[in-house]
Amino acid sequence: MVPFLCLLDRHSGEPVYRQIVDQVRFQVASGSLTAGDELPSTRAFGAEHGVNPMTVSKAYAELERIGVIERRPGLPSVVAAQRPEESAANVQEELRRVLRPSVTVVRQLGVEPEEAVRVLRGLLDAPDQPGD
Amino acid sequence: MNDHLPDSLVSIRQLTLTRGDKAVLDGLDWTVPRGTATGLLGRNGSGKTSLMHTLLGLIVSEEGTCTTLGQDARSLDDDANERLGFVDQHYQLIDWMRVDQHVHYVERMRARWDTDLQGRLLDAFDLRESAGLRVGALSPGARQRLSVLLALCHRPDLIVLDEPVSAQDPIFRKVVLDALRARVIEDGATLILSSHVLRDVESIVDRVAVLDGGRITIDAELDAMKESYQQWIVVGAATSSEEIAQLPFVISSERIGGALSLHVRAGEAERRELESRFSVSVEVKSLDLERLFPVLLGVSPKAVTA
Repeated sequence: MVPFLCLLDRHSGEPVYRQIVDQVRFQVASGSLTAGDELPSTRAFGAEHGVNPMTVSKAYAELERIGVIERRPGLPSVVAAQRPEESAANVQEELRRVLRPSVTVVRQLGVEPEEAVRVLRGLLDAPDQPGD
Repeated sequence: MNDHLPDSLVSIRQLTLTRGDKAVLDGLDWTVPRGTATGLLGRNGSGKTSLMHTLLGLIVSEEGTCTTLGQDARSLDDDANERLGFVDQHYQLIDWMRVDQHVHYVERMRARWDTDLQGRLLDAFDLRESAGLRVGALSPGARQRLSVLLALCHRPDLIVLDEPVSAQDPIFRKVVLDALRARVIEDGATLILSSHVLRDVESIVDRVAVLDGGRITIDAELDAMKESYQQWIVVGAATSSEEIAQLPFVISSERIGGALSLHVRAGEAERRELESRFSVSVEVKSLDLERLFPVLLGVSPKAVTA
């Protein structure tokens, strides 16, 4: 079993099961979890993170529904195999999710889209510049 | 351990309880699913303690039924009592006993007492050093931790706690809440917890039940509530529109500077519709329990005055 990182914040407004879904999906999209990797049982995950196994089960069911994992009766759940085009789509979906709040801010600031894209490109070109 | 238990550890129908000429509980219905941790929330005097006492059989209601662990709460047998753990708001203990005597005294009444768990909790709750002290000499915080320990070591199936961390500092708060949570995760215990400190409730519960006006007005998974209730900050030309505030999914609205802040019970579809229909931009803010609670009680920002 891969030890995978999951940081849950019970005091965020995000539902806990949704946080689990998002973090597993992100790790699959980023390649830190790959096809066939085993996930902990709902009980083990629950004990590790202080979450009710029922909540973990709900997250796993959602991950299965969207094709990220495969649940197997009596066996550990595993990360599902994905076709290359699916992987690409997942990466895009993750990006969209992370960038969506920025879009709202750009609109609120009344910044032209071209200007916003230029700023993003600038940040991407100088990723390690601290403190701005 | 809990294989003979019903799916609902508490099942209440049309419960009415009056004090003087005032109905404390008024036709209350409530079901508590097995294996869940529920936060029982309500304002001062809403009847949380009365409700807890009723389901433990400490108070007998005039009307309605209360079934606890599959039995009539008014006449729980020894088996049901063995499956119950309760921490009272005032954590009553026997003051003249020494701490170790008190633990032993309760242990002898409990067939399923787990001495290993007792040892772990004595350490975690920092009570081992106090073993030789009289219970009456303990600090309020230590007393409260002792009463939690005494309610947990027989690994009950149903744990009822009335303000169980009110006397704890931030460090012990977390220790005690973690110990409670562990019973749910490890034993599949069912937990009912009341507290005014919503952050404490939020750190361990799966469900929230709101007691208001003598009834349970809301009872749902916390995750589901966080998913369906949101705050929207609406910016754009048409935000002065009273029409927005009148939309069916808007619970309350308030003007903040040039923006309109809405509490809504809605999701993606409604947000997109609002954005295109009124040409506005919506920033979605999720609500933690602290900010969700007033919305659930309907005492949040007044109706719009635009």
